[in-house]
Amino acid sequence: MWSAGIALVSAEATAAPIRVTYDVVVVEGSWQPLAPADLARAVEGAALEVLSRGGQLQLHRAPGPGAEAEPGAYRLKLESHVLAEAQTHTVALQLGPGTAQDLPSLSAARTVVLGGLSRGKMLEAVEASAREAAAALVQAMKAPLARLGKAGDEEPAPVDDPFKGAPAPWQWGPVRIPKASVGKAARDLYGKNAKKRQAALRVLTSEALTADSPRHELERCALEHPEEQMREGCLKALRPLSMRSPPTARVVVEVYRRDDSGRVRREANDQMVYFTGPARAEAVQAWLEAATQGREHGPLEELGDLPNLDLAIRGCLEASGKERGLDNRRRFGCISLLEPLPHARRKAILWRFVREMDPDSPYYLKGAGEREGSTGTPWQRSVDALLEGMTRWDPKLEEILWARYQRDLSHAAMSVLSSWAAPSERLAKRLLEMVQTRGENQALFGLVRIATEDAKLRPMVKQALLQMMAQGAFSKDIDERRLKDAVSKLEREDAR
Amino acid sequence: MSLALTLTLLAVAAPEPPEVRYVVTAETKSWEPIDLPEVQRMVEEAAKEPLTAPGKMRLVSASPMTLSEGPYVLRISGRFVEEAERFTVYLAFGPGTQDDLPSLVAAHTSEPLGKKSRAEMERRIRDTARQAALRLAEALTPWLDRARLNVAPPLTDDVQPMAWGDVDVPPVTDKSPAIRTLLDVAQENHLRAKALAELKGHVFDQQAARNAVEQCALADPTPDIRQDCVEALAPVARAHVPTQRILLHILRTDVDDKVLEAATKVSAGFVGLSRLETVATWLHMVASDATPVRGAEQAARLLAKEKEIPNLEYAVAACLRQDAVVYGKRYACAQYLLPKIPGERRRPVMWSYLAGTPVFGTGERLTYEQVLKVAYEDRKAPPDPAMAGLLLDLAERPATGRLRYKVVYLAGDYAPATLKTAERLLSLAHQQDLASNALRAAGDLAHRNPELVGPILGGLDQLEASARWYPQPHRGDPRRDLSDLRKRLVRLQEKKQ
Repeated sequence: MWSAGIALVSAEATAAPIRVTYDVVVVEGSWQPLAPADLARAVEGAALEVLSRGGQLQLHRAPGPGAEAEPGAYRLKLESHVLAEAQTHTVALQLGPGTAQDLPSLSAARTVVLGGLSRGKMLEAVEASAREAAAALVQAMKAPLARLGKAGDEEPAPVDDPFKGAPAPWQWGPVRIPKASVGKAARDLYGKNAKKRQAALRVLTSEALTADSPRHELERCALEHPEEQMREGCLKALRPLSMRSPPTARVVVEVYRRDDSGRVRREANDQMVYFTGPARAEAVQAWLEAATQGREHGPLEELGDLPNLDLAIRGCLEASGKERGLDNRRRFGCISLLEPLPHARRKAILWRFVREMDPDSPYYLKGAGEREGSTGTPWQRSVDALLEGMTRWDPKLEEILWARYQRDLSHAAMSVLSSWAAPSERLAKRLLEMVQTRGENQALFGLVRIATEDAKLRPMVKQALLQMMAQGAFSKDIDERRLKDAVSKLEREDAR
Repeated sequence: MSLALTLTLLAVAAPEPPEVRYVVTAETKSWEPIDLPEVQRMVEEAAKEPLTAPGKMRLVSASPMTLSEGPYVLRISGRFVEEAERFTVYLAFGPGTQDDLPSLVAAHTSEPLGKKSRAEMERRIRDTARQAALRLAEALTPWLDRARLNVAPPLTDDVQPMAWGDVDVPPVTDKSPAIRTLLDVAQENHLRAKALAELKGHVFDQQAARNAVEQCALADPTPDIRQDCVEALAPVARAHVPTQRILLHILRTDVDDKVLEAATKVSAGFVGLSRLETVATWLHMVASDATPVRGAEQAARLLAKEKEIPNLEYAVAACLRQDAVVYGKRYACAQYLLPKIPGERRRPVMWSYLAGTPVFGTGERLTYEQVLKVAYEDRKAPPDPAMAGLLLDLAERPATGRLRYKVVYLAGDYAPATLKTAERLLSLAHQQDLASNALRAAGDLAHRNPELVGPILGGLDQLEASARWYPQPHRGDPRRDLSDLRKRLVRLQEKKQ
């Protein structure tokens, strides 16, 4: 045994079906019209019925704490929670990495109103919403699963744009605030007199600490008041309550999603970072939604791989490309979200953007041509993100980089071709062209690198450099001594 | 063997329940609806029953002089709270001659006793004592089991030994114009601030003024005015228990940094049983998801200066398990409070955090590293196999981000030097970004256990053949690292022969 060496587990992708370990979580609330066990059964039965169709997923329930079980390649959480006051039920399905991480994390949710329904109808509604959420999850998984299905030893070829037209799997339920008898303060809140509005806000702020009706007025005001300052004031008044009351937390998330004012959204965001349980999950989805729309997206960069992150980054890159002027800064924000994703998933997102050469296309990533060495650009950062975790050189990427160099003399493209690209005769010719026409020092370094790594290329590179020097046919931006040094290095390599 | 039989055997083999010496006290400032010696007797009777029922401790009555001569100490205290007309029972468990169990405090506050019959008051006091004792028993049980049965349960359940009773502010009937203005929040801020300035001088000796300022501190809509009201209560709060309870309630419920800062400052001067409640409130602040970051940090810094902190283990475990995204609170707990828990009691506190927290961003990584730093501060201690296994589990979860580099490195130092660990490390070396650290850790294992040199050399051959590393400029080259390690291990093998 000791002398037999070590059996290594290969990191290769495994064939379908994919083993998924799932768990059902019922979050109990103050209003619980159905027993948690009934809800768990309804959600589990309906969701699994849809998810197990097609046989691509092999679903196993996670054992209880302490029990040993084979871990799943992915984990699925089926979560059910009811929201008091709104009298709604939300089912959220979250697929995330287990021992594997090739599929994107995905989440789908559906919310239904249970208030006023009989017990039987409630269960029917819950089951129907669980089926819908499961169907949305299956739909969102289609393209990534197809991509995974092609995987063998080779890394899957980049699909042009696997996320194009994918519906948002997370569906937001309605926000229902109970009607309250309208008191003086609530009326004054919308009055013409600014002093009276502020006084009403103070009264409601104080009363809301101990009573529900003023809180409902503040919630309505935060969502609907026509004046930005009042919406912000009402939202601030909800701060001590949103951290403890799930219905108020839902209102704050809705304000973050819908309000146009940066100030109001900032206040909502500041409250959302304190949310826990289902409210936290909704806050995360709201940040992802903001990212998808190319807007500020809270603390997403700190949270790692999240359900629906891939969809959000892809949407973010496209949406921010449509806004001229702001696209660079916003796109940096989108690209920074790529960090937790493994290489294959980054590539699936970025490929459509990186290959775009038309500056008028929303997919186009702005660069800075030859100045890229001194300034960061979305194009450069995207290429860097594609190189991270790369296990083999993709010749198609080389074509893209060469095209980008040819079109706008991209320094980033030149640098990657020189430092990263796998040796080939075609690459050698390209690097020679860069040295000859632009005097690129880095390309000369690249030539020496590939000719050192691949002895078959050495005579051709050496010959071309000697010819260049003999004819003086090279850009004088490069010192001739450097060309001579390069040839000497290759000769020393030959001698070795 | 069935679980029931195993437990029975454990119980048979278990040693005697530990001896706990206890004293009972009762106090009041002015309101005493029942004589204190009688109250002491009823509290003692009611509290003892839940604590001794499971047979987990032997309670022995002691005098204050001989109390700490036993292995553990239990202080049972009760006090009447005037104005609120309630009764609170505190049970403080702590070390005597032995300190292997944590200090814990449980408290429960009665329903109002005012205007109730003597029999009803007695019933409520007894019930309060019993509730407090049940809370203490619940918090203490995992630790007693740990000591008795030599098992180490992680602190995963939300045990809350302290029950915070309602706070009561008597209605203000005598309303002077200043009081009316202060309490009418429809009035402009500057008018209420002016009214407060007028009342400030009367807070110490006029109940109506004090109660009005207390209401202001609890419910004024403007944080600056609430802060001023808290500061105005500082002189009276030094010794007046109802005001102290209101300020502690503010610490648990307000979400404004300035208000919390002012209330924390005032609460730092509370003494006696209020001190006990203050420390418990600070712990509540660090453990609660809703406390703003600055408030939690301030409480953690103050707690770090305390010598004996009851309930610390539960609070730190809850703090580290917080679900909220906001950064800073978990780090404050790891930095200021975790080191205060003695090494042997620290493991169950850290366990669920280390095992279950998703780590990705810089903030969480710093917190995790701080917890690991505390976990491994005693480098002379032998490696804990379970903890080291946990580090490797973490390294195998790609979603944990850059922390993986660190834990792989630590595994080389601390994981048991076994074939299984070496297999896991070399398997991780397939990943380009982990390869260098994993190879280095495998080398460290071989140095700790030279028996592993041969198998690791075999593993390196397989790794070289199967790994798909791509040379990356300006970064480490795993192939070179592998070649260097192979040379080192061959030298080690030759030396051994």
